[in-house]
Amino acid sequence: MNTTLQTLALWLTVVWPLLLAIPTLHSRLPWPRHLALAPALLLLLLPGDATLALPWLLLGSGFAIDGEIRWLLAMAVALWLMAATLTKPSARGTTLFMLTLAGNLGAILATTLTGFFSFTTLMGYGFYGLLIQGGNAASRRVGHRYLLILIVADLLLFEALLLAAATSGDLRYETVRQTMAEGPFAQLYLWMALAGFLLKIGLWPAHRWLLAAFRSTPTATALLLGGVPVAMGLLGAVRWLPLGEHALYLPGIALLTLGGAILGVALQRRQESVPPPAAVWRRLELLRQWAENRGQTGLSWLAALKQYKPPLPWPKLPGFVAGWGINITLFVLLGLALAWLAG
Amino acid sequence: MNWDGWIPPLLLASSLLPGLIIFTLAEEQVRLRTLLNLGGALVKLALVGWMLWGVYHGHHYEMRLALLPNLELVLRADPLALLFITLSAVLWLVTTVYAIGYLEGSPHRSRFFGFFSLCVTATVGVALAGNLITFLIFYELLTLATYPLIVHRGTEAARRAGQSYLAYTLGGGALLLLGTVWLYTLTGTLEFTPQGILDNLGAEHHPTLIMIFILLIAGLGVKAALVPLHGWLPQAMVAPAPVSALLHAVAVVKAGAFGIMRVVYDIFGIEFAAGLGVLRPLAWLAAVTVFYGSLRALFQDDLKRRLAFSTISQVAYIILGVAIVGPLATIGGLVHLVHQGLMKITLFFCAGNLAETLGIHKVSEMDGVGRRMPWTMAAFTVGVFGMIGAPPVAGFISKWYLGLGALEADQGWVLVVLAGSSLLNAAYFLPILHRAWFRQPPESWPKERSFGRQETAWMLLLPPLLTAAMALAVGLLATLPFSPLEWARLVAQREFSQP
Repeated sequence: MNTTLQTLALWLTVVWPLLLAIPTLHSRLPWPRHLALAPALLLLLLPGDATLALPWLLLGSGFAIDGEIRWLLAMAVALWLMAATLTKPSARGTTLFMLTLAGNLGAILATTLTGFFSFTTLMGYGFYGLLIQGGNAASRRVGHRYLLILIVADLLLFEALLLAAATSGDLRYETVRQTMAEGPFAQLYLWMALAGFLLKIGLWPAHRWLLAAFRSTPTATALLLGGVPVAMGLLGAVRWLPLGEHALYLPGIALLTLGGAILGVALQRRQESVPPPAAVWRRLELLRQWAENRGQTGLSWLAALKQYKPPLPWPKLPGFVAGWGINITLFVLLGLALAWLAG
Repeated sequence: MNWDGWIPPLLLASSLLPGLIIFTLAEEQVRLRTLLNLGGALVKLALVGWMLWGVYHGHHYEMRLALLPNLELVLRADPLALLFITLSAVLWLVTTVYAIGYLEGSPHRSRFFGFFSLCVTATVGVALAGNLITFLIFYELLTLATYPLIVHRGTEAARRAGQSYLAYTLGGGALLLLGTVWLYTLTGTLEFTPQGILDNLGAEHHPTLIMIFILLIAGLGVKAALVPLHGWLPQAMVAPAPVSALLHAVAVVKAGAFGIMRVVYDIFGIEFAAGLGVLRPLAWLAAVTVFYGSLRALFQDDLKRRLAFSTISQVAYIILGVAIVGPLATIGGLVHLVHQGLMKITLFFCAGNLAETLGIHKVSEMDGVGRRMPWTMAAFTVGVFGMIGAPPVAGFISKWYLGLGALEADQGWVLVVLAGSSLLNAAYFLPILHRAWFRQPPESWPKERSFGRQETAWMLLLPPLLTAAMALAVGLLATLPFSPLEWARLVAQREFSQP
């Protein structure tokens, strides 16, 4: 009984918001944005792990929930519930909300690289719509920058995906991480995937859209910025990159980013919650120093991390929380990648 | 008695006979004409379903008629033929429904639907051809059946487009004929055979064979709109939307691409052709065409013209898949034959809906059209994402196999072509979506027609919704039995003798 319910909930978590994206359906329901999260909530409440293999779907795909995914899903549901509450109702906005939500939840539950890539693509284009639906010049500019980054990042990830498929054949995360740690395409795969995800996360020099987006979008969308493109970029890096034991730290960091986004943006409206470019430069300088010294064994980047001081004073504490989540995450992710390369 | 041999000619007759009868009908005999159109399309679909099942289970459908001494008219349904026939049969039915709605109340409908049926008959003949001479006959019949459809509107622009079409395609046909005759004098056979018919020719014939290959590809490249032989296609977009849909997705350009497949796989043989050194230049030509079509599309304000240049680019993917040499690339090229058809026909149906309902012909007139025609633009959006290669739409599967095929064949440069093309596709398609969904609509449309509470007539709306759903389904469910992808695998196994 529990297994059947879990299977159903795994399906509906993704399919239900997709169905509710149709205006004639969501316009007939009260609180459609909140209702769209009902299957995800049910999935969270059902105990135990579950896997749904779908070899016939999109070249072989599947959904799963386990302890780690449960936490990510819980944070995502909390984030989306807040966004649903804060968003002003509109038919078109609801459709975009549903598409982005379905993509986000699907990416969290996906068990293969193709599934993850497909859902993040859906999420990305839906989020573009959410960014620009305000219709003012500032949001349009932000949207266009984001779109450009999204397209380039997806192209890089698609090519990385091809390299993984050509090497491994099996596109489940664990298999890809193992097979892509070495082999003829390992370096190319790493650089393409890394570049793709860093673009999605909003690392310099692709950070400007993120800075501007926090300022120009409505509260609900700004709330989603940390939890949707940035956190999914991080999650993708965790799942795609062959980081070995270092990857163990990253789910926690992705959670931290989601939490930072929720705490930070929910309490503070349009503050400078992402560090200015100077701070990004400073992080890169620290990284460069670390990379020069990468002959040291172990996670020596942690020492560099300790030296890192966020640019103070932050405008307000909530902004600091959100910014800190993103800052540290970017730093650690790059450190891990370099550690692997030095490896 | 074995009836299997009769099914290929029956398949031809299912559109030929209705077409011939329709020519004799008066304009006001709408019901009978509709009945014949839809009846023929449904019979053809049923026959195709029968043959799909049969070929999958090893049945052999072939008919031979003596044409000249030592030369036969051969109709044969092999897996490659069925891939193309299924596409034609399915899209013919959908396009017929669309054309009935589109041409409602307009003059010369019997003439239109008569040639429409002949056009599909010729396309199915091209697909069923079991040797190069049969192929050539139907290929030329296709030219003649399509010309009246292009000039159907009778305007000066339509006549000019028709003349250009005839000049290009008859010229191409002459080259094809020359190549065919030359080949026949050399080999004494023109039979389409897996792995080709040229294995036993010695190295001294290679220069001649290269010349013959160039002649055949040039002849076929006209219809496939390979650069620099593409000039007729953007001009032909003056034809009514159902004709454009047919030209771009089902019949003419596909016949050219299909012919190139037949020549490479079943006349020269893929490995022989690769050994001859003719496939690498073909791959480069395809790559140039991919970029050229996309770059030209970027600067077109006329929606159908933009779509036409997009076709030039997208059909070249099929050729690229053939020329990369390898089972996976072959699968990519083959499956794109179907996938491009589904996506492009969706886009042309939508363009037709915009023109017929609101009088919109240009991209610059599309501001806010998504609010006025949400279902049409939803279908258009699916088509666009498919063209870009975004998952889970059909185009993603095509690019996936083309990319994997390139890696398998150690031709990494193709990945750059795929990425560049996707980028250009995004550059000329996404601004359309932005305009349609996120800009404010104007106070009035150029030439609006009211359809009550519906955004447009249901016969215009249903076809793009169906084809968009199909484009999604063949992407999402690509690995199911009888999907285009699985069928393409079957063909590739045959060509490469792979397990």
